[in-house]
Amino acid sequence: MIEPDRDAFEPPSDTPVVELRGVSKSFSVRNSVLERLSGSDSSAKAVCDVSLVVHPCETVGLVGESGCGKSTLAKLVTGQLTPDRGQVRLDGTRVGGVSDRSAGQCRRIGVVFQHAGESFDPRWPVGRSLSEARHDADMGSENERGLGDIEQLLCSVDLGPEIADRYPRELSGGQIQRVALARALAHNPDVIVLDEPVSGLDVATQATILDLLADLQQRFGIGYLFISHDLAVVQYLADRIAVMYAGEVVEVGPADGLFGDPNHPYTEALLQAIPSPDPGVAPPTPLDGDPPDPTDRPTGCPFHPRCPAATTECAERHPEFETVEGARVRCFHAPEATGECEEDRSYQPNRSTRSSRIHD
Amino acid sequence: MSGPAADTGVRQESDQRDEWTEVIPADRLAQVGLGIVFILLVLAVFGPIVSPYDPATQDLSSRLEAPSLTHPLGTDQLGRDVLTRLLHGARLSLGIALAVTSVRLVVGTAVGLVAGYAGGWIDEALMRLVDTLLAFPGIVLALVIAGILGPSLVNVMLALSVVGWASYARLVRSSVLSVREREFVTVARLLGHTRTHVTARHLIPNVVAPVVVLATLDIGGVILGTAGLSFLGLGAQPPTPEWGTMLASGRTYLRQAWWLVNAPGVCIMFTVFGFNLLGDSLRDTLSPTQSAQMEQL
Amino acid sequence: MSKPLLRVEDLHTRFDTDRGTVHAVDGTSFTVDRGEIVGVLGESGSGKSVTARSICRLEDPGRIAGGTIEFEGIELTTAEESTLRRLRGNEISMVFQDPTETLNPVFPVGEQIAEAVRIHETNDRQRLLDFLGVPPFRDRSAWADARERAVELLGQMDIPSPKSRSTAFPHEFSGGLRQRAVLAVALASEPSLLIADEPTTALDTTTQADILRRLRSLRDERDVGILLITHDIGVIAQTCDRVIVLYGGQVMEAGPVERVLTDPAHPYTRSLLACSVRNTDSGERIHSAQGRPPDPVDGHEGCPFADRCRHTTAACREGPIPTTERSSEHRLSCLEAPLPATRESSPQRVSPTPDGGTTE
Repeated sequence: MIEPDRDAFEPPSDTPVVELRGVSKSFSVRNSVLERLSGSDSSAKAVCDVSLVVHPCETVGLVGESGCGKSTLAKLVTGQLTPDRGQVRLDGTRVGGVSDRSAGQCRRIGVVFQHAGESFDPRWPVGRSLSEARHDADMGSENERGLGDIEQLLCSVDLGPEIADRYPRELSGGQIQRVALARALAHNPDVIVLDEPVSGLDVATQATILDLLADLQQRFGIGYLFISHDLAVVQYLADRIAVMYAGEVVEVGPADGLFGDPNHPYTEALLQAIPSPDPGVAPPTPLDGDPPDPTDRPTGCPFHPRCPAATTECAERHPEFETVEGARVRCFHAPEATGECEEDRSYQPNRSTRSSRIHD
Repeated sequence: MSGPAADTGVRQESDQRDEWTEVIPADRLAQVGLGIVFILLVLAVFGPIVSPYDPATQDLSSRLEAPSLTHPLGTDQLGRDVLTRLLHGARLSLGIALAVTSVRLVVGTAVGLVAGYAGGWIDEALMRLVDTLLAFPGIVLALVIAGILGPSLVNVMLALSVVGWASYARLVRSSVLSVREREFVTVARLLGHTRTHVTARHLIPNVVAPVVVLATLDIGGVILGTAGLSFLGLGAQPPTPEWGTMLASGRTYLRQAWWLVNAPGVCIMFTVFGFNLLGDSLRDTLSPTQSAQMEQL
Repeated sequence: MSKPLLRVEDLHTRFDTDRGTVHAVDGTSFTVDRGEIVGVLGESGSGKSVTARSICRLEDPGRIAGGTIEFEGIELTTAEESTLRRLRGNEISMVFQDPTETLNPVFPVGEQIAEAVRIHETNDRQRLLDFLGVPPFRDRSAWADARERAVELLGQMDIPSPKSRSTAFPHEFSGGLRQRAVLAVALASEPSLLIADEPTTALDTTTQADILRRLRSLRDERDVGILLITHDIGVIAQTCDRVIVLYGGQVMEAGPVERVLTDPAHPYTRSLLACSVRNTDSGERIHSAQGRPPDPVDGHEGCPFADRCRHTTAACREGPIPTTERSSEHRLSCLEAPLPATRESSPQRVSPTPDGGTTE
């Protein structure tokens, strides 16, 4: 499978591998099992009306603070959860939860979790976990296809074949993350969901993993859904970025544009929070307040209680998406959307291209 | 570069691989427990073969003889060699204990797996049954069952099995509930594996450790239970050389022949002691803190 | 020159294991003064946390094999347990990485802060029955005062509605609030030294900015000396006055943040800076250091970084490396310094083997 024999080198096609169409998910207080699955602590609207696509060979970064629903969104994609409303589509076909998906459909999506060590059976050497992922469930025997495959897999993530005999607890954080990546590659997925894949790691290890991710994407033409709370990390890898706040996507757009020129005040706040490694730069000013309680969301724009540019309009009405320079933003104060942005500070400078769509 | 890499390779080789064989001898008490259990098993298997007498042959001319060279542990009221009877009894007692524990383990694990994995009303129903069983004092319930079924060794085994599986079911269910929320189980399911596959490959192996510990600790209890029921006349019937029965029949001669009571009593005590030590050390070995400690360094 | 608040001199902390003696801290020296934040930078396994724990004399199961730790003139390595207890309650506080683990889940947050206040007040003799709350032995008025103080502390940490929050349990707090509560516990005793061990690693970037701002204001307003341990260069750059770069339990480079981070003199510091994602533009490769941290068993001959350093000479592997003074306050341990001024252009990536997966 290591040979990039598939559509790897073809240019990204127009059909997205994964498409979310207006998905929503909320958890009720009574359903304790789901609550435990989601990690959320009360009845909550975790994801509200999110649409997102991931194409092959593309990295979509999903950023937001903890509790903003990005992990829930990942679970909707992988099928650990099913949406209350909206559709999850895999190659244009609507799919349900993981138990309704065929083994083939499951195998189109790979996953890498933050705590990779936890995602390996502690009683198995990692090689065995890899071959479990390598072979179809109904093929039974895990040894018959030979060990060469496993070696090749490990080699593709820059690990030596001797790693296959190690147990998860014997590997360092970076190593186990690589093995997790190898496992995600093992079944030839079209898209890999990376849920905070480098968050627990040292800078040095982080760097090598990110480099590796970039390499693998080039070799195999896989799409990534890259979830992180660290904009700096997402920026390095992502082609497009979706910023989530309180269960909603507030801004989606090409990575360069979004970082150079954020349109949503929340995106800007996130950008400002990144501490610069240059001691000469003034320390970031933190965003005041906390994300809203998902059980008790504010009316109108969910960000308005913390937003420096909020007006009464923000509190009353919920902004719709508008297109601004290739990005889609959900804010009344996105520069092109209204004329009143001049008195707003910082994020208005000389952007003259007006979008064709103006909110109604 | 190759220097440190090779070095870590060596280091990780020497890390504990096999918890079962490597760690047990490290602990003195565990060694004692393992030794006792091992000796018992050897005696149970080979003892009857080498024993000089027949356990049932009576020799009324040498009744109640004190321990001597010909009869190392003396003879009983019918002139039977006590040592011989103890050795035969070891086979019986251990056999019963292992059989009963296995039945408990299998039934309990099955019920626990079903309850933990299925959830919903199945879980609810099974757990209420378990609660009911656990609400009775085990030995009293076994007494009742054995009393209804009538005195025989098989009935005692049956009674003890019925009584004991509930705690296994409890344990397995709670382990399943925690293991199935762990990420590696999620990953296996996301790979499109069936429930059966996930259960067989991931759930069962990961809940087995605490169950084994419980079973080891339980063997001692079963031996005590069997002996107790036999002592009360519900279990093995004379002349079967069962330790509890021997204890019961020797009781009458406590004043004349102390060895009649003490020999099986000491045997029971050491057996239970040995299995408990073994179980304790297994628990320490298999507990997650152990591997966590190893990891820190 | 007045005496520093904390002076650590040639500290050695060792762990005896089956594999041999682990030299976790191997001759570290530094000082922390009142009203300054000293950052400790290093990868995992560099001995930063063990250093912090040794200062509090919580190095168990390790042992301090040599060196001195002097806190306000008191020698901690030989101090009595009662002295240490008094210092920990009053003078030295510690904040750990995970606020969820630090707070006791079964007590309200306010109660835990009040307890810290009471421990501070009743330093010489703590009465168990008083702390257990057994009615006749409990000093009600003192506890009421302590609770008020707790509310006050929560307010100082900008926790909204501190009065009602003080009766809430830790799980009702968000991550950022929890870490602020932990800070409140740490500050209850009005310490003169605060040791923060990765205080923001488990937090979102936005929350991190907030906590870091709080640390800075502690330094400025209360004249607290802070030892901030982290692997994030951005955090160091934005918060610290001086920085100590640790590797293999030894100080590689130490000096004012502006000097060390903008003009690093040690090859290890340089490689750390080079592999920071934040120093890398999108699309550019991150320059990751090759090789893995040294095995700390049985200590090092020569420079611990020798195996990964590109300037290594034979002399680097022999004998201890002397500490040289580059300019006042800027010390480093490297034989090859001064190095060529700029970073090497395009370090070639020869089969990257960053965490031990040797393929060659």
